[in-house]
Amino acid sequence: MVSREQLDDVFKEEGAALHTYLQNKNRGGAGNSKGNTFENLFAVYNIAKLFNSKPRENDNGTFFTSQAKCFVDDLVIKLDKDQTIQHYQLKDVANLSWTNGNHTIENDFIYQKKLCDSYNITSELALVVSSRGLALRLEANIPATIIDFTKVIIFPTATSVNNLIKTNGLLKDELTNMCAISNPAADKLEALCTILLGVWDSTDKQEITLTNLLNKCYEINPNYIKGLINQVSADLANIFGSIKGFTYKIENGFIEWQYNNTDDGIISYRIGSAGFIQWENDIKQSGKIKSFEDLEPFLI
Amino acid sequence: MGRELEKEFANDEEVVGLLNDLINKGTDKYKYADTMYNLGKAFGKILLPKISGYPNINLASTVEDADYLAKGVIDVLEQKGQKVFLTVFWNNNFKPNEENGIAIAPIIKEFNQKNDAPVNLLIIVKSIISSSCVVRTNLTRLIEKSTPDHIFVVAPVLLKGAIGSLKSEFDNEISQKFEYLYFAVDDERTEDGLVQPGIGGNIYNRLGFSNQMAKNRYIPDIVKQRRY
Repeated sequence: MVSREQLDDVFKEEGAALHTYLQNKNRGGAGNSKGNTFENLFAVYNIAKLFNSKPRENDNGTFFTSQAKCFVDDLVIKLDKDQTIQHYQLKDVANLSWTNGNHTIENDFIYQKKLCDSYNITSELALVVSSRGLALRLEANIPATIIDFTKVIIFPTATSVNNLIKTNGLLKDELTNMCAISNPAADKLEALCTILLGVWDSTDKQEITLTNLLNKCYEINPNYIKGLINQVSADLANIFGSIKGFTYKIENGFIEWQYNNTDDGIISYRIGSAGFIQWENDIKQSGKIKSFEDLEPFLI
Repeated sequence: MGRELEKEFANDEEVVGLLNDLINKGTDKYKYADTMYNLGKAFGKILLPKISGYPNINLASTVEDADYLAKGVIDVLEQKGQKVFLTVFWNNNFKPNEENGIAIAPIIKEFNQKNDAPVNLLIIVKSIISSSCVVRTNLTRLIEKSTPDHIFVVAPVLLKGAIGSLKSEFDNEISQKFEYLYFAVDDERTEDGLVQPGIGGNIYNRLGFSNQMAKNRYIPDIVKQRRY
């Protein structure tokens, strides 16, 4: 992400040493693990957050990179084609200092800010920790050299996705907002989170666009991601309407149905998706559906 | 390595015989279903003296267990005059990313037998608990909708560690309500996730469903009977 030429240009005689430092730092971080790691779950939170704040389709201007070659490197999000870049340093530890060690967090933030400013990039820099107590201590002690442009974010962690959604309000709120279903049950949020995690984990985590991530999510059914189509064909509406006791509503691209206050569900396929088109075709090809019992095998 | 029978059932010829029938690859789908039903009846007999103080009982199962394991439990309880309300879940169990291996089992459909009174006792039955993903998902859903005083988690076979795994997914306030009923604990699982000897393989296949989609298209008879 940062070239040797840029380092020389901005930091002059320090450029060579900083280049070596970044190469080592990048090598050390690149062995990031798969699964529900702190880094991956914070990326999922940001993917959901960006989805919720942007137009939902064709956002090729947002890029996510894990372990970028730069100073504040654990997660880097380029917004609006390089005009704004968010840099996050992630630490799931009990103790941490801004100034300990040979290469301090303070210095990483100073270098990152200077680099971004030199190229007229609007930067947002944050240190993300999982412990509230640690976050409060770090926040109270942000060095004067970086206090004007540095934030501390608390992102609680947990042993499983299910537990994380229960305890991490930031993540839960963004997933809830991204989810097609109003007041989603826990299993729907867990599914959405695990799908985002799985898709993010399946990439090389280098310059991945939001659109690319979403397209991969849409290949998975059910995904429960908000869609834009809020109507079904007249044929399908007629079939649904002909069944006594059967009601349905379409919310953010998904059909939620109910039958006589005993049965309910959400069709797994997002309206307009290839899976949905096949599903609708299967219903039509099955012959005349006269009762709930005829329709029921398709309600999956 | 292998199977450890619960002490009190180690010499119970009926239970041991039923568990062996599940494992036996020669058991056809009809006998397999009967075996699950009879295991359900065995659990029903164990549950009977434990449930007398609970006026409103909800029994929950997955679609594949509803007509067999769950029905066995319900038949015993209802023959003794204990009304049981049924919930059935259709789960779509999958791993969005095979490499990181995290499984989910969102509920795509559910049946809730009409019951206006608050649930005092919850019985959740499952043919086998290994990763606990399905049981945990369904229990979470049930607890979102009700506040039972006590929860029986009932399964013929558990994978070693399943109890701890399930407990870790709930707050103490909830997990202290759990009481586990099971006959055997196995400690081996194949690479594709099947417990050995477990219940003799994948229950969908053993019951004659070609795959998960076919399982989720199935409407249990017990649901049809209790819908209206």
